[in-house]
Amino acid sequence: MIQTPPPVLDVRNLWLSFPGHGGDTTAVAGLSFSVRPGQAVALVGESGCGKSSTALAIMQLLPDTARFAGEIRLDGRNIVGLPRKELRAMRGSTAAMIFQEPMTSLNPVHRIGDQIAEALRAHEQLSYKAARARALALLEQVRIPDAARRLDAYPHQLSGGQRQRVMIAMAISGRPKLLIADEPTTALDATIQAQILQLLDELRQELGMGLLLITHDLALVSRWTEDVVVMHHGEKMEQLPAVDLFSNAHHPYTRGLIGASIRLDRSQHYRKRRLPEIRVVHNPDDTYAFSLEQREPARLAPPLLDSHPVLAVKNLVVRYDTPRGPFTAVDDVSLRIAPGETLGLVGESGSGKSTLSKAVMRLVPAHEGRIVFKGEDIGAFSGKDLRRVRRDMQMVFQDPYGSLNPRHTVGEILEGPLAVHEVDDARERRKRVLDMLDRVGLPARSVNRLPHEFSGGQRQRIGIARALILNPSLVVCDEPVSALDVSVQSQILNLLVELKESLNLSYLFISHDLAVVQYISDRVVVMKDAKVVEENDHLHIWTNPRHDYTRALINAVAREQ
Amino acid sequence: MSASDPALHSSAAREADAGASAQAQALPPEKPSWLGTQAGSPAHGPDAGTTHGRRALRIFLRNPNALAGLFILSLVAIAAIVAPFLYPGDPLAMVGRPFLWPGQDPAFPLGTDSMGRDVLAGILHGTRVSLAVGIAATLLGLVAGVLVGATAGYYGGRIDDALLRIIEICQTLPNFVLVVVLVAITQPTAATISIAIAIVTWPNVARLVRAEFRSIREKDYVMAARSLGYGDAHIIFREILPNGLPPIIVTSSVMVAGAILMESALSFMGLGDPNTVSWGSMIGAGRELIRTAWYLTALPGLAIVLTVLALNMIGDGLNDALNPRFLQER
Repeated sequence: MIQTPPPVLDVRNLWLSFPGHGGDTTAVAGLSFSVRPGQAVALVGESGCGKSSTALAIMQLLPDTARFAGEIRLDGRNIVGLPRKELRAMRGSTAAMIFQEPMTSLNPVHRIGDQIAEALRAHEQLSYKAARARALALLEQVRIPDAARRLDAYPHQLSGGQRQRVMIAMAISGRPKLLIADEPTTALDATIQAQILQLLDELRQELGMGLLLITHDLALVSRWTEDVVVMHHGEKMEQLPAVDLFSNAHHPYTRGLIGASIRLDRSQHYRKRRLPEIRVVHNPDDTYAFSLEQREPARLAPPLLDSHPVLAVKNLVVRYDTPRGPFTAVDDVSLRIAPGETLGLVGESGSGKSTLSKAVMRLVPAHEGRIVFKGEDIGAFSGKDLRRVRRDMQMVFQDPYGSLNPRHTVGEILEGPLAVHEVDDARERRKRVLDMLDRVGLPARSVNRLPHEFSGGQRQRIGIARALILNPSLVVCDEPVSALDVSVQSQILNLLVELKESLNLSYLFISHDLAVVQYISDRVVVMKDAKVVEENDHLHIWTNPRHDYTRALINAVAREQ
Repeated sequence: MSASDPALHSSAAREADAGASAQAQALPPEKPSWLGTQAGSPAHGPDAGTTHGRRALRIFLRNPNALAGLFILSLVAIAAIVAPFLYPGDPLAMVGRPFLWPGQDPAFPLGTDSMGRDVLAGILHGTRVSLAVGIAATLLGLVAGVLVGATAGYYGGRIDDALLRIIEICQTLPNFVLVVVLVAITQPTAATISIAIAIVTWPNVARLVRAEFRSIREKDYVMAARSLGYGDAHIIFREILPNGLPPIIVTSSVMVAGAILMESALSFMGLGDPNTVSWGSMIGAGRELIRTAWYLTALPGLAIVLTVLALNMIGDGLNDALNPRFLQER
């Protein structure tokens, strides 16, 4: 009989709260789970569910004001309340952590070899030379090509994926028994994401360490971990084997999350069905009730493919001046959007898709090519003409936090465009603001509130309301749901479809997420390195991709699922 | 999970309740006593309804240094207001016996100087000059600096290059010498001194504002404002400037202190307005008697120290209160 080894991490009835102005906020409520050596466990949930607080609690990296109850046993030892010195010895050698942002977690002024050597020397007596040799070995272990040369590189000389590899090298330098990865691939492109997870998986087996993967991405969990702990509002909803996640989940919240997340292989489409939405009801007795809601699909007129396009971009070129000479961000791109159509634009970061959208909106200057909007070449418009066109063409931004002026109330944000575009009657403006708030599903009392009082999804609704208040015919959506949780994402996508139905909109929908683009688009354009590499309707581009890059993108996502 | 799963929709809530109670029986999670009843209540509880301004004010009022600074500064301001009522006569008039030490004659609590002028009257009236010059110079410097900095930062490109050159040229001139020259050319009055000080301080404000505008210009909400067809003036003054205000406010409190020091230095050198009394001119007049009557330099000196210290403490307090690092949601 095989004896199961004692867990490397054992969390028992953990409670965690932070004091605030209006009383304590409970981040984790009675959480228990464990990780065995060599086991990969995922902690999943949406933002604010307490998963990151749990990770920081295990590393004891929370601010001093945080209050604990319960036990966190690392390698058999309860670490809650340990003195600082012992905690420091434990960090890195018993448990290590990697973070989401590979851009900011490395110190930009030190060479990466030195940073790894420093991490080594923090825990061991090592000569500089020995530490450097070990650093080289570690870089090779995390499969950085040409490691000997990379040792003397600065962080900015590495790509995002390579930086994350360096972070992993530093984390495993103390041979930890537990590695905590907090959203390690969220900031990375799909193709890189798969490579990093593959690496983590191999290292886990090589080093026999426990892996605690913290993520919001369900598809990723089912492929890379063995056990899943689903969290909501600080409580564990359920724990189940990862293979059962999509087929055998019991808890309605888990099933709701799975229902709301869009997967590539399901060939869902907005014209056929709506996304299910999770409804969470907070009962007065402090329990939660969950339900899944799916309404009838919107009745949409098919796009008028034969009539004049709303927008036609012809041979557009956008260049930026950089210290190292001109950089072509958009290179000879042509596309067209028919009335009532949604054109999806996919590409990884740096492919030029955001620049293209800004050039179409005339927010950055184009160097060559034509932008024809409703039959007019707006490329050279300025002043009054440009203002008239802008009324009819609006944009929804990615970041629901950065795109609303923090010092203006929602009423001011929505009334501003009306005032600028000469709706002079204050009562008329008020009426249109309230009507628009109602359309995007926000209460009328939102008018006097500031953006920071709203959640991410609500802020994105405000952003959509601002774009639609002038009654445009084309809306450019630049990654409108990438910063949102799965359940909120489905609500916002459904809202965009509803608004399209009632206001007869055309969308240019930009995203790096293939599954989202597949759901929301009628036609899809794939961009890579400033060029359009493929264009097709939403059915054929997935089933019959012609370009290698499209195929690689689809494979990277499909493998996860 | 799909539409073909009708059972879920109706029974989900019940299921959730059942699940929760079953879980509760299996593993009674002991709630620690310090926990309130609002377990798991989402984070949008505590700060909902408070604005940035109110939160900043709360942080500011909790800072003992800032409060002390505010207290001293209000005393100084009160002194400036009551001076003409307490001492309606000319503070430069000879009113008593010279060299009365503080406390020697109850009629002159802070004594008299070499010409028999009342020191307390001089300090109180000096407060008016110091505060007036400090505030006027700062306001002038702020207006010029904000206009130039905002234009340079917002438009960028050639306009920025040209304005930045001008700012740099102004910054290379030695500040105090320039003020001395400017005051020497013109009539030394409170107005000309203020203008001279503003001429040397605006480049600092312009640099700061330019930097703020350059970073805020790239924010999505500014992009959104442009895409909505807002005019440049609207974007500069309504969208960007309010968000760039915190560092400008902090600097302005320190600028007032700097202007007061500069005015004192001018008066000390005898370049101030000869017809009004100022802290600097009092120190200048008492300078030669420092060994026999040190109180003549020490008392106005103390007034300067306290006022400048108060303004700096307020500046620090404002910096803490308005610093975006302390405002998580900015």
